[in-house]
Amino acid sequence: MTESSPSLVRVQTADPPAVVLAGVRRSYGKGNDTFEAVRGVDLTVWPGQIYALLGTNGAGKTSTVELVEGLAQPSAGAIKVFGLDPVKDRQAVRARTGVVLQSSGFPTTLTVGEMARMWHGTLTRPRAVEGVLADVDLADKERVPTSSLSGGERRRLDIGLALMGQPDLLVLDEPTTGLDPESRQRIWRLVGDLREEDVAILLTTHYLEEAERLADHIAVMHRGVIAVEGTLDEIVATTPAQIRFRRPESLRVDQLAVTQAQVTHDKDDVVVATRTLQRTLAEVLQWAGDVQLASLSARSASLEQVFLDIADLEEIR
Amino acid sequence: MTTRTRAPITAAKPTRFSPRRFLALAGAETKILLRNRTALFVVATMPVFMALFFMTFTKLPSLGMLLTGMILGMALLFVIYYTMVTSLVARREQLVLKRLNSGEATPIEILLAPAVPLWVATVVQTGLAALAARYALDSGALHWWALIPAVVLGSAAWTGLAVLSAPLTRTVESAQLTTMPAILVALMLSGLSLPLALMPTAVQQVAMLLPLAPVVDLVSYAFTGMNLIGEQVSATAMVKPVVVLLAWTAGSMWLGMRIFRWDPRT
Repeated sequence: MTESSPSLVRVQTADPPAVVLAGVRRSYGKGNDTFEAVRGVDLTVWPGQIYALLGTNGAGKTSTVELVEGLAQPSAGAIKVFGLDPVKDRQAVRARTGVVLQSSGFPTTLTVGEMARMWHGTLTRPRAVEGVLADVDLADKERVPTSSLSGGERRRLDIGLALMGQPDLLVLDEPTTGLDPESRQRIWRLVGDLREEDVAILLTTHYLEEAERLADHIAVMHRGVIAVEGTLDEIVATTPAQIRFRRPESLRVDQLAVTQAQVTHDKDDVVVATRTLQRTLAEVLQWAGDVQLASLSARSASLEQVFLDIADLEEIR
Repeated sequence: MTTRTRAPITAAKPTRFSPRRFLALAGAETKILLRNRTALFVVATMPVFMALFFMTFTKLPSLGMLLTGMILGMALLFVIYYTMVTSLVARREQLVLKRLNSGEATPIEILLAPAVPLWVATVVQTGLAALAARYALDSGALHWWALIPAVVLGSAAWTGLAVLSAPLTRTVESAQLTTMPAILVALMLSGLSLPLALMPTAVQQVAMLLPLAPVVDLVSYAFTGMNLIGEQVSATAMVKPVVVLLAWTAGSMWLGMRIFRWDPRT
């Protein structure tokens, strides 16, 4: 983490970390059928930090957060949540943790209000049911059976229940999947407010925009390991910017002299990868001179590009 | 979103079983059962209809025992055991149990809460049967206190067996198959369908170690002062069925909790 991340600098000097994973592994099955979903993950989530865990399907995100939630034991490595073991010290950890599972259900014959009040009765420091339902825009659905809720409304109820216990740690496993844009924005505001209250937030998501907008720290998982992590700027800096154009017939690519850049081409489609976009672009334009470069584009690296590059890799480490 | 002040967590030591949490879960479970009018009708009227049927029989001192034993036995097997297994499996497959298990409620609270309204139904049914025996069949209990361990420990043992059977059951439909062995064996070797006195001694001894025969033994003693084999016995003879039911409760709950699966199996 760099000095440029104000939220993390603040929390690192104030409180101990909320979550620490060190060399964590998780396996499924036995003997020859063993599958290792998490293969040595280290991560730290601080109070007041939103830590986003990205990755392709099957990358190991949910397997990792379930360990933090105390729903499973790691096959190796150490996990501490508020300095405690989330399985052995389940009650102490759960009293400070709110969880939104990737998918979960509700008793179908209970209404929203009844479900919320039941959950309220199980919590150590619950907020009022009415306030929570209002926060997730379900106040007018209190008398509606949970079976009649839409997918987005069920997700909002899920999130409301996770917030009801005033958690110090919020674990959100793809919380906005299936939500309409307005609901998603509302949830993002809620999550942002919680960060201001020094809540530590561990978030998995498929939406890169969500991670870019919310997260102080991003980790991209692939095949059970964290392939890259850091602030958004740090992660984007790991991938070069790209200049693309179609080679004019009058010019030869081998005469394109660029420094600190890599030129590749497939027939007439040329790609120049560079970490010094402005200088390389100037060199390309100088090489072209007065010749028109068809389909010219210059694009800074993005989280999406990093993500796609990692997803394309066959083997990591 | 409103600005809020975070309430501190109290210094109280976390408990594996909290009456407050359990009541919250059990209250919701009771609401769910109360919405099932058909089930409520059956629970309330079955002992009455059975009593009316028994009134057509020649009056015998053992009629009260037969009526109460049959009602209690059926309640343990079907109201508690079968209903609990299907309920736990359905909720596991619908991810309700996983949702509950991600919160502060402990596994034992989550798994036992659905049993509370079923326990109440069993108590009501057995109570109605005992009253019908006393007032409609003139065959009241001689040692009514023995009905208490019969109902309480019988309910506990069959709840434990449900917790043990649920993780072995893949779907709600397959619950009909996975519960059948326990139900059939219990019915055959409990004295409810076939008199144990007609069976070889070795079979009688094995039957008394199963989870239903001790319940019927206690009911038999309560109404007739005799054990299930038809021998006149003292109150101390009821220690053995109590111990057997306690062992079934502890063993099945312990094993069931160890192997319980919170994720769907399908």
